[in-house]
Amino acid sequence: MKKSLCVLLAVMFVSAFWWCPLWAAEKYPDKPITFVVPLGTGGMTDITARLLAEKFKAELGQPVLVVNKPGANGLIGVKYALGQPADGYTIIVSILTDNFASPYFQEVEPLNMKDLSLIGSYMPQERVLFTPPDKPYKTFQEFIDYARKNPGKISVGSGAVQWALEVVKSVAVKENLRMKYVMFKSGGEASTAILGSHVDSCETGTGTPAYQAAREGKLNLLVNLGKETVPFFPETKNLKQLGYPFYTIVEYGMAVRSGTPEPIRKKLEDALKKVSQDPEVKEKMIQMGLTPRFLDGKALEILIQDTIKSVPELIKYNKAVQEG
Amino acid sequence: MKPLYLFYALAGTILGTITGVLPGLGPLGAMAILLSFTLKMDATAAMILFAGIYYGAMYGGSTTSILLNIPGEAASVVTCIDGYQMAQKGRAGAALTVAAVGSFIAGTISIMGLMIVALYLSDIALRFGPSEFFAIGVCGLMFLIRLTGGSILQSLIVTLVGMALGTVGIDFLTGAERFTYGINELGQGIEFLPVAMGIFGIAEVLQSVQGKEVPKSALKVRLRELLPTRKEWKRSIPSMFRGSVLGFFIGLVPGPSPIISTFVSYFTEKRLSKHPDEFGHGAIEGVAGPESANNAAVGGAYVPLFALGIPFTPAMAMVLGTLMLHGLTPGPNLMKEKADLFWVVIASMYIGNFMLIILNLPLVNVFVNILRIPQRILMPIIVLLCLIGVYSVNASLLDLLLLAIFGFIGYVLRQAGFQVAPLILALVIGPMIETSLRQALKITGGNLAEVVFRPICLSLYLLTLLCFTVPLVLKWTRRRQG
Amino acid sequence: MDRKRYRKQIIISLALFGFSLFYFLSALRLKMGTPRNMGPGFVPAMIGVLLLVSTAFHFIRVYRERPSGEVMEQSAEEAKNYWAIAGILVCTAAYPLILETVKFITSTFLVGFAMLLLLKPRNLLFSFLFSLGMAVGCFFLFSRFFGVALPSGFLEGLLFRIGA
Repeated sequence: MKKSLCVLLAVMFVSAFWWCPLWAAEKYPDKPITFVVPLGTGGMTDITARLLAEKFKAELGQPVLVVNKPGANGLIGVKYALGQPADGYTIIVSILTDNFASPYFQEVEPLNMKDLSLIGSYMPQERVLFTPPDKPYKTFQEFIDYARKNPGKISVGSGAVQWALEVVKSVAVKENLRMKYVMFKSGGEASTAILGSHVDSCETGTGTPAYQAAREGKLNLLVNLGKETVPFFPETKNLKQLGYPFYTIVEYGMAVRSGTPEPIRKKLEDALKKVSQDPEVKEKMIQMGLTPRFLDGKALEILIQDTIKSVPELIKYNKAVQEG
Repeated sequence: MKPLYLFYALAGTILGTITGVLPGLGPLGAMAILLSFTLKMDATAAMILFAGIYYGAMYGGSTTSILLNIPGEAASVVTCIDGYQMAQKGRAGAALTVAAVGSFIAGTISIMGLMIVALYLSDIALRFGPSEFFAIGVCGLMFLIRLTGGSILQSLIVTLVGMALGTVGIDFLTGAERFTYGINELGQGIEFLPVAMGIFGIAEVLQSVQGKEVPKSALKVRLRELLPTRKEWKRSIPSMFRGSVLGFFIGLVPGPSPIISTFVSYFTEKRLSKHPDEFGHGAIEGVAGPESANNAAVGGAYVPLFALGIPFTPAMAMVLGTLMLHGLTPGPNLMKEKADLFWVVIASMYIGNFMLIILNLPLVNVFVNILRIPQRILMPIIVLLCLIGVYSVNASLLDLLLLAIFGFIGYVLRQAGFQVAPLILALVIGPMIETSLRQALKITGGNLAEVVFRPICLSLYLLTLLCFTVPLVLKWTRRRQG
Repeated sequence: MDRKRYRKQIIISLALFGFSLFYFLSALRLKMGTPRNMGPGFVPAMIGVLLLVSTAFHFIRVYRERPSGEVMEQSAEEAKNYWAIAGILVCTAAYPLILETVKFITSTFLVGFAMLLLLKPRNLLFSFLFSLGMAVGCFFLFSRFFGVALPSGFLEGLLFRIGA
């Protein structure tokens, strides 16, 4: 008699643990949610986050506030969000792959995957190397040949993604080239520089003014530094296809602090899936030249693990490069 | 033109003025918040709303500059210098009116300029690369140091302090941490807003509190005293036109153009004025010129946005983002394909400007009455609004501490007779100068000559040099004759 | 220059020089790079040098105008309300320290009330009610109307639901 009572109590005890988060998830959300965007207001991350916030509000029934916490390439915002309670009301919306990559470049302590519970991603972005149309090189191969014949002459700009610039450097290492590298503060600033021919070439992402200009034929695309295809430019090859060892992965996604109950995370994942596949959202993003695509938490994790593996290797490989 | 658009223009202007008056929020914040609302409107309505917000915020910022010596944003800092002095002398109404009218004239002129110039001069924006930005920054700095009268040495020191503060944070080009001492939040650098609110707002409160309480006049201010006198009009109208033209052209140039236009205008007005000693003590041209300039610069900043699709300030980036969310990508194509959108937006800017003046002139009376609130209630209100306003931007506790720290610093500097305006402006311009210099050197492979000897840069350097040396030469020749 | 002003000026001048020294020395610890390839420390070092030179000049200038020793007329008591000044600074600095612990409404109320008291109000009750009103009013304005995320706890949650 006592034994079965014990078993019954044990079962109740265990099921309470199992049932409690479910109950929390049922109640969730019952107060406003905050999207933390670790980059500046008005940027691509910010705009897409606000677009999603609006849809999330309809989907989850609670207002979604967007808070910008820029700085240190996104690390400040991420650290802030990780300091909030793990209750699912503080959600990081950012280029998660870059958040994991940049600490390596900045030589600070890398982000630990265990600290984050990934929700999923909604958009990849390709980084493309652009060049003005009046240059003597029109294809990537011509560009490389020119750089080889004119060491130290070509300048390469970057729209604020260190990883992409380092990938270009890795190509220079492989092909034994010497070029000059310049970092710009944003895709917008880089676009101005390349459109005004202040640099010979520049890498920046889809959706930026440079990209839009390229769609109108004002810029040439040399190569895609990512590993997928560039929207509207299906014939542009990517580095992987051309046989180079490194490429960038830029993935816009959402995450919460680890320790957030799984049912809540799952609810957010489902909401993200639904919202990112919403036809209105897709249409708006496509018109901007972006490619909406949903990846769930597990798939995003694979990308991030790829990042964590690839970036330190890239840095080591590039230590051999001469500064132009 | 639907009547709904008029409503949006009005709503935008009102909202913009409120956010301009309240510290912290600003046009960027207001636009960010409203972005989701605009998704439900059509593109034109959204643009009208944002234009209203932008102009409203510019005006709201000058209101607090004049009444309380607290700049609503960087472009209003210069207005504080003479505007506040005018308010202290009881001419607050005149200052506010001149600011409103000047902004209206400037807005109109710049919109006309936008229409004419958009297609033709837009390419000018592209000619500005790192070397040119460096030139703009350095020349702007020269104007800045000579901005307020008095000791050049003191201005220099304050400017350098501002630049030094601007270097705090993670170095953008290399990722190295500079002067952060392990405080994570300093990584993003010292932001303009907490410093400005501290040095102007809190310091001003401290300054007011230190003296005996001066009983503010309880008499109701008569309408005649609210408006500028005929003499004041006579002096300010030319300044308004000069400021507008100056501001528009500077606005075409990439970078923090509204800010730069204010001090170039102030400098110009001071040089051209028949009453140069009044500057710093309530010269009306010192309000009319810069206020017109910064509004005109806003119109000028729209040019690269529409013509090239490139935003040069965060607020423009917001506008760009909104357009893109509505499926419109600014660029030369937009002008050709959706020319009607362009004209509607222009019309909306006119309407916005018009609304602004209709709305704000009567409000001048209301605003002036704010000064009549007893100090011991007004001061805590200001402090609280500064605190909350600063917090509302980035939810950063460090920002709030900076507010207190710079309040103290601002108070102390003022006690020693230093002007604080250059510090803030240097804080904004300094990083731009450094970044551009380093970028330019990287591009040219370290060749400083190449950075300096470019057509646009040389013209800027020469122009600045002339602005400084010609008056000196004239003075010298006059002395020899005399 | 009278004694009092001189004292103020010289202290501030020294402080500025001290700041310049501190800044310059910290800048030296950063990588300098070369003029061709400027490191993070290059421009700060340049600024540091200029600061040192200019603050030194300033100090010299202030020092040369030191009062000759005779005490000038006692400057009229300016009723410097030092308590109020210090108090307001303390309140401003205290706000971020308590904000996240006791949340928005309480912090705003406390700081507002403290400042009103510092400025010698006539009516204690009025100050209390006014601070309370400010706190709640600002909460509504910023949180509901502007949609800003403010530190919220129990009180704020309640208020948020009113009219939600």
